[in-house]
Amino acid sequence: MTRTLQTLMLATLLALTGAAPAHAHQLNVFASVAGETITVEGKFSSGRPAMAGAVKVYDSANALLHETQLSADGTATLPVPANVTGIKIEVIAADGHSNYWIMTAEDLAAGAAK
Amino acid sequence: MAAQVKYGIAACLLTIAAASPVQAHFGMIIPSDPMVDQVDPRELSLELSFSHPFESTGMDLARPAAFDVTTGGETQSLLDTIEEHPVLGGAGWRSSFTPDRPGTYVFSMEPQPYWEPAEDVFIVHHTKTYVSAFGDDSGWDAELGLPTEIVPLTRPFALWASNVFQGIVKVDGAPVPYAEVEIERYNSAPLSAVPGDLMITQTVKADASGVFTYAAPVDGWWGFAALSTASEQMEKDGAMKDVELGAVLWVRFEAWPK
Repeated sequence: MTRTLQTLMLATLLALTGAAPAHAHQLNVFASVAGETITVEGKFSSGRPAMAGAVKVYDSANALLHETQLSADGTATLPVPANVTGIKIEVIAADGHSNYWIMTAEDLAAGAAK
Repeated sequence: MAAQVKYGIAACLLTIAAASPVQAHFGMIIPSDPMVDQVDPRELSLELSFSHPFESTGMDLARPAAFDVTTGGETQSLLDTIEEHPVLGGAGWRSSFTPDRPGTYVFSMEPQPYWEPAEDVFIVHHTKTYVSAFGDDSGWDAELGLPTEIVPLTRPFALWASNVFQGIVKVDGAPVPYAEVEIERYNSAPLSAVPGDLMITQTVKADASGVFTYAAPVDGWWGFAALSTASEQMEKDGAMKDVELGAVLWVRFEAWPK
């Protein structure tokens, strides 16, 4: 399955679960993998980090796998979940703004090789 | 002379003139998407050319002297990634690039000097375009420090057609008062007709601070080219020739959703 198709499937899932769209005071979420660790970054469109907020990781069946909190620098780290074909990482900032980042199996595999 | 003969001669002259209109040259970098989203294909393709964009005709672009991407203040050469790829009937190049983090990625090209015998001048168009990745527009106003460049005062992506666009023309880092800026839309196929040749290239002048303003009337890729003459000449067949420096910026305006 191509990465794009995987991404679209996860995006569809996300839409069905009612994730919040971007707004003017936009929260941007990005995540990257290095080895066994995922680093999540939450940043507002102003450029300022989201200093507090919940981080939730779901699998492709929308089951909650992991939950943690952003640090004051707007980041969080978490372990790469085992046996997943892709995940979505949702960040809900303390002010209620939320957004997400999708990681496909391809993304996870590429990051694991770093 | 009969009126019909006069009209015939005039038509012939018009045909000859139309066969060799004064065409504006534009260095071009056109990415497949100016805003990469996580649900898009994350890999960008980029076309590099030297063309007459409005009239959909390409010239031959020799292998560029430099092709870079700059993000977060860091510049990386992409010259090793380019391969030959015809553009609009001329020799061009293409490349691909995958942003790995959110932010603004500025692609820039320095071509080899192009000898234009019709104007008895060398042409060097320093060309660039800005791409946003993953919803992050930080760095959209980045200045690269090129010998000449247009520094955007309006975010150079995520624009609606008819939005005003402003930039400041700089040479050696200093604003150029009353700089002339030529503007053309990139038509991937020729338009059937325009009211006159003057409609092909739009022209505006910057103000005393080097700031120019333009509103693109329709969606598409629009190129902005501010031209100046380099302080140093180059040799051609034993004679020294002027060098036209171009600060070229490509910006896409998006259609309002229907």
